[in-house]
Amino acid sequence: MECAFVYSLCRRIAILLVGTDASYLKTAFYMKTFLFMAAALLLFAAQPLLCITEPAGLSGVVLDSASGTPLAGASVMIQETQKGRITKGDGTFIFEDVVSGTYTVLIRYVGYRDFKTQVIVDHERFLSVRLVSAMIQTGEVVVEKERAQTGLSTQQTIILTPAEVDEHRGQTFSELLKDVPGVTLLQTGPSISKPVIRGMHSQRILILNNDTRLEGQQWGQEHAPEIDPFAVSSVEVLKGAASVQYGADAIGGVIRTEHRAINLGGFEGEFSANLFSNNMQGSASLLAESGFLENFSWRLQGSMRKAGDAQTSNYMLANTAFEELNGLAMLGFKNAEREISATVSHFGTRLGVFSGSHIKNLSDLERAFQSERPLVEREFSYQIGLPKQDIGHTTASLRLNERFKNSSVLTLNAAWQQNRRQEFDAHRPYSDSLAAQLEDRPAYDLSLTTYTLDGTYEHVPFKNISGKAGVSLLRQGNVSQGRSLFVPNYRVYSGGAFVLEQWTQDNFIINAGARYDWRGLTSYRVIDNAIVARDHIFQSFSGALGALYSWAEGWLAGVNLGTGWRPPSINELYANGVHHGTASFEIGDTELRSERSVNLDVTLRFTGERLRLDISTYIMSMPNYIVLFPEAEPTLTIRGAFPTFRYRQTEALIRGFEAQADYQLNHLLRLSASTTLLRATDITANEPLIYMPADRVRLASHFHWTENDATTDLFSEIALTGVHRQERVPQGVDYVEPPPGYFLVDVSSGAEFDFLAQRFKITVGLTNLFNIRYRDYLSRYRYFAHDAGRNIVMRMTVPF
Amino acid sequence: MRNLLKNSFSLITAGIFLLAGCEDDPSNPVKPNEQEKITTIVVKLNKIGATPGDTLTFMWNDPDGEGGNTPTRIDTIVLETGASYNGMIQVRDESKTPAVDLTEEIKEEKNSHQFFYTFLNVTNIGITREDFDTNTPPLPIGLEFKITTAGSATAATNAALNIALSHYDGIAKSASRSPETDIDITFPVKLMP
Repeated sequence: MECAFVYSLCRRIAILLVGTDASYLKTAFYMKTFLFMAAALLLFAAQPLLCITEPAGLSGVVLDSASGTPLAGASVMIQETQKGRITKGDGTFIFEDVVSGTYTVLIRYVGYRDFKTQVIVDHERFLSVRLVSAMIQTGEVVVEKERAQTGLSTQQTIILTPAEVDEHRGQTFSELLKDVPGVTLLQTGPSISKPVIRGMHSQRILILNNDTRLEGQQWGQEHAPEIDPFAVSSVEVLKGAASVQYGADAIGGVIRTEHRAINLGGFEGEFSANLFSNNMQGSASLLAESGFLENFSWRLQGSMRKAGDAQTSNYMLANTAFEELNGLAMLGFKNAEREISATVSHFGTRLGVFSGSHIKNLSDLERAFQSERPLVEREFSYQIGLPKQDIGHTTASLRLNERFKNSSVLTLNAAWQQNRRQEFDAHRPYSDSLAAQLEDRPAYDLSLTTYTLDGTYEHVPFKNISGKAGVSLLRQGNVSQGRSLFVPNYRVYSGGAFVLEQWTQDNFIINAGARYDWRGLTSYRVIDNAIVARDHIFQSFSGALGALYSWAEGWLAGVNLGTGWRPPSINELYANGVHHGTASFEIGDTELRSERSVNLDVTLRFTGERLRLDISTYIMSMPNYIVLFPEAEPTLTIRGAFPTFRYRQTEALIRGFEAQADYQLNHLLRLSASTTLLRATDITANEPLIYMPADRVRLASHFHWTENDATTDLFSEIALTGVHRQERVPQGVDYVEPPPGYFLVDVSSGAEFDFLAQRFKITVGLTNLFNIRYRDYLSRYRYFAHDAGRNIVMRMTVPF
Repeated sequence: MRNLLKNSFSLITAGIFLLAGCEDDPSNPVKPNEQEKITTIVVKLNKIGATPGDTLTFMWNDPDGEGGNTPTRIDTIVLETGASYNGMIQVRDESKTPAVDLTEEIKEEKNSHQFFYTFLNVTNIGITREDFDTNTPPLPIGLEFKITTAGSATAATNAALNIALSHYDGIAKSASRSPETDIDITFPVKLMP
């Protein structure tokens, strides 16, 4: 019944904010919702039976700031508990017996400056501390990499550590995230994939690449994020609306990537290379960095990937070859108070679009469904033919981090980025003169230029209250130059300001925040040879309220109520044309209002010596959800009749459950299991929402062949992924039934060792071991082809 | 220290203004290049034995191309029972001035194009394609065809003729339709005794 109350509260807030008529309330539906949450809570209740009482908590490493050498014998003290540790020969320390909460950690070492920091221990936490020699005047210590952000979020947050990111080297950026509970992929063949957080993707999630919001043509389902996965050191995934800190667009979640920290030490770098058997892909990355003139540092990084056509279990996917070339240069300055970095990066890719998806009308699409194999096939090739995409994304950013004497912190980030997207189609005009005139001109050619300026100020903690305030400004211009027009030219100005405060008392944290955003969009179109400009103004408030409580050793519960909004994207306002590949006619609506989400999220975590659990359940209500609705009348054209869809607003409700458990059976074997369940409903139509990820389970076991303290590490892993058939689909909207569920087995084995005084890390993996033929419901090629078959992957990383 | 901080701010501001030049102006959109539009299909029928030049003309016309307004003209093909017709098809882009006749271009690319004609809800009626490409063995093109109606031919009220143009791009032309359809239209059909 508590759930009933909470849900109705959540809904009422949504209604209040957007003024939706409350008459949609359908008792039976909510009853189901409550049962769903009740089941989730029952699972929580069952947890104590599984728990092992001794929690693990804080560990880390202490290093010399200049050379990076481990400092053995440093004293690490938790002031609240008066417990201390002395670092081992490799500079590491571990406190196994830390209750969740906030602690002051003091680190001391002879000849070095003392280091004191506030640490919030929620689950397994790792601190990497670089102590500065007392000789260096300007020096201070810096917490380099933590497992969780400071200012602990009450929101469901998952962090991928550098080691975890490393496991997916050579794959697309989105594929880094595919094992995170609650995250699935929206794929357009092997080269294009987009992350989906709790069923939300594209314009509903925000990607921050090294603190700069990534602005591409993110509304397109076949437009992958323009991020070099090799440049990414760690990734943070925030699930649910995170609009207070990150503004409109962060309605479904936020993905933040971080590059490596500024290195003031000596010359170092990393070389990594990968080989993939399925599409004969080779990729390599080289990074080099060094400190100079005491406080300065430079970094250069480059990577390339080249792949041929991918294959399913028994046929080639014609024209799915791709190539990618990326580069990054960074110049940094760092001292006790200040950190400045200037970064310039370029991401460039050329992607073949699967020939079998090149269709012209509905009967072509029907013939494609009925065929067991694609109608167009070719021999394996690295050649990228038509249709294809050419994408370049250049970013220049300047970041300043100033720590004032009173320990308040100012962060400024200014960025310029330009996204150029050219899409070439395979259609050649009949008229030879026109063909000659249009030779090599892309069908779509969009240049999107964005300037952003973000500032955040973390104030001096006042008693138990810490917090920050910030402003964001953005200016954006989109210019279309192709043969065809899918979205018009436009200019955007937007601005926002927020305050986020946190109150901490013993094992209890409450945080609250509010934000206001304004966005003005002007579209420019040519109508009857005259330029027509039209203004759209969107503005709204966002808010969040959360609490985190630890009532017993190792246990932590969090609840978060958040609301966010999103202005309609340019395609939702102005699309008017055939969507190739799905043979449907899409029509935008310039009268669309902003979308709003209200979500309630409950998380439970347990961190024991052997067992680690992370369970969360949520409800997200979106009273003005923008969705493509089928029209009764198809659009009749000379190429046949096209089913027609119009962007409309409806009331959507998304409920979900995610759980992850890791169990360390002994020091050699670790077992883990995770599951993602999601129910998405169009309340107005009383139908499920289309294109939502199916339920899935992942089981893995990780085996270490060697003892912990050995210099050589040898491991093996086996992972089973089971994906259920998506049974919940609206009737009569999709062309084909959802594909059946599938079950995949991946195995891998690797070693980390020293050879000729050089560290090496080598892994060999087999994905889709049994070469299963399957189609994923969220694959945009499922109408035309199966997903990729077996893949043998070899990875090598050499740090130097 | 304060100076250095100020410098950092001015550095950031200067950076922004430096980069502010690197942008195209969205407020001056160019009209997209004219795409080729197939707006008009003309079917011409000559009854065998009738006065030469006495041609029946039927038109399927969507002047603004895909989307926008619905087609403005879809004629009903009226055929006599117990008769034979020589037919030809024309493909035109009338959105341009002057109008572009694309029929010749299709004839030039005859080895990668094929028209398919299908009568729906009509009995005792035949249609054969009369022109062939240079493939071995030769395959029909379908720009020229022949319709034969038996004396016993009947048409339901929803009788129709479907005309489709398959484009074979990247695959060999064959007797079956290609994955890529350039034209797919339907004319209503009536029979007269």
